Amino acid sequence: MNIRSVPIYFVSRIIRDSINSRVVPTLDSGKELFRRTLSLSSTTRQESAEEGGEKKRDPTKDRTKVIPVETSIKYLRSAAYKETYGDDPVWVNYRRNYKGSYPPRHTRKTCVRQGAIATGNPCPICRDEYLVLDHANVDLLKQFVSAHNGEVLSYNETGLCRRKHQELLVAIERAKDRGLLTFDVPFREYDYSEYISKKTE
Amino acid sequence: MLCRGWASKFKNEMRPFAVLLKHMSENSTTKGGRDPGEYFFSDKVQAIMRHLSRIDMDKIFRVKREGQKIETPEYKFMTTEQLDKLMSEMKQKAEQKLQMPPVVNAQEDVRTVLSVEPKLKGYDSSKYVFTDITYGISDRDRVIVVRDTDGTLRKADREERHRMNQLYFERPGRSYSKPRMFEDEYLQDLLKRKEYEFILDRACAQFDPDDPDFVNVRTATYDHINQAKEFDSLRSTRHFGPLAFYLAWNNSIDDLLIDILNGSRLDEAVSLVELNHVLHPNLKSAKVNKSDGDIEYVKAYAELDSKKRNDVELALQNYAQRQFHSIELEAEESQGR
Repeated sequence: MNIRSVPIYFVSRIIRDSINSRVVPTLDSGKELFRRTLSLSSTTRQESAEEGGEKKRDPTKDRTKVIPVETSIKYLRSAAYKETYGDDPVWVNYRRNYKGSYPPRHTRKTCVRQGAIATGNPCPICRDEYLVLDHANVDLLKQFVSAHNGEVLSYNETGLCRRKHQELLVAIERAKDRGLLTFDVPFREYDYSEYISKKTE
Repeated sequence: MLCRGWASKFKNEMRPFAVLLKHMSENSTTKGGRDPGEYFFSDKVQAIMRHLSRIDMDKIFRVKREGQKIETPEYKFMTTEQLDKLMSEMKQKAEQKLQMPPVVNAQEDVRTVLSVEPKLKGYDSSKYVFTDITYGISDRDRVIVVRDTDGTLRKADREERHRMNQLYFERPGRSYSKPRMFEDEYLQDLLKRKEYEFILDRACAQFDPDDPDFVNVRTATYDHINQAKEFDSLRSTRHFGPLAFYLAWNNSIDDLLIDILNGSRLDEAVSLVELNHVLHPNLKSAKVNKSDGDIEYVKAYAELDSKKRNDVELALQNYAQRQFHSIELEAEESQGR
């Protein structure tokens, strides 16, 4: 059945329904004329046979479970962490994948989409679900602060995805506000004349 | 003049601040109605405080990580005269870095009404804050007034002044809202970790010396240091002088005195006792003359006015013995040669 043999009022409905959905021309009564499996959206879709059942998810890529901060703090002191990372910061042995000699200016927006890792080379924080960026987890936050001038390292150096980098900035800001993370405060100069009591003048 | 509307409910929504009442114990700078500011700025007291602080160049000029641009170190070849000149310049710079934050009484807010205009009531649902942003005026002298919703024109209170000053004239290290580290829970954690210099530096950057919050934080920190006897953490910083002043003001110099004597610094011990006498001229030991001898001077204080007489006298004895031993050793060495 080719498109010319289909009446005009069917064609308009096909066009309207075809954007990001299956092309399913129907009669006015609702009965489907024919079923085409051609899809116009970019992501591939599961076959209808699997739609009724649960989508199979790789457990190592699942990031729906929220790990509490206390667990993360314990993890950073554990033997498993020591074996994995040694004494270096967690981002040191991570390498970004890219074509050419210069990496793209920005890292990816996020490694986790819809509750699962959506990339083959996730960033240093996303790849290990027990590294939780929180203001209480000071040992982890310190790894992302420069030892030379106290600045937070950019994602170009650490390789974090942009979402995790933003979470890191927020966590560091909170930790500094609560005094959990200390830093060098700028010098405050006083003009004594403002504080000398009027009685002595 | 710049006008800024401000919702009155903003103040109600501001985070409640735990008042450190338990630290406002008998150790308070407002005790007895006397003003420590009358004594703090005198040359004699300043000189004593500087002497007690000691100047350790390595600590004063330690590497500070303040987010500055990383530069390669610079090496220079100098003649002796150039080096001497540079050293004297550095000593002056060290003196500047040791400028001591004033110890003054906490100033409570005074409500000063400039005019009452009931006809303006209901003009707007929010207050208006007028700030004079003329360049060259200090934050404390700046004119900041508030027109309330009922038509009263009054001078702004401390919090309003802080907010406006920080908004229009941002100061590095000072934040718009009070950092949560000055709340009781987090402050106690910092004190336990002995981050005294950090607490005091940040308090200096955030508050003015006569702010009740500043006085509370300082009192808590100094009391903790005195109890833990961690005086060394503040030596060669700008906070040691005020620490000695605070302890002398509250008649609790004994722990510091013992610490100094154990370090065999009799000149500093004498200075500390002198400071105590300057701040409390009515003490019995204040009449003792310094020219009688240093050890006798400190001993007189220990006998007459010290609360920990035995400990201070023991420390003095140990110091005397150490001196005696070192003199004996020197004599033996010179004989042996």
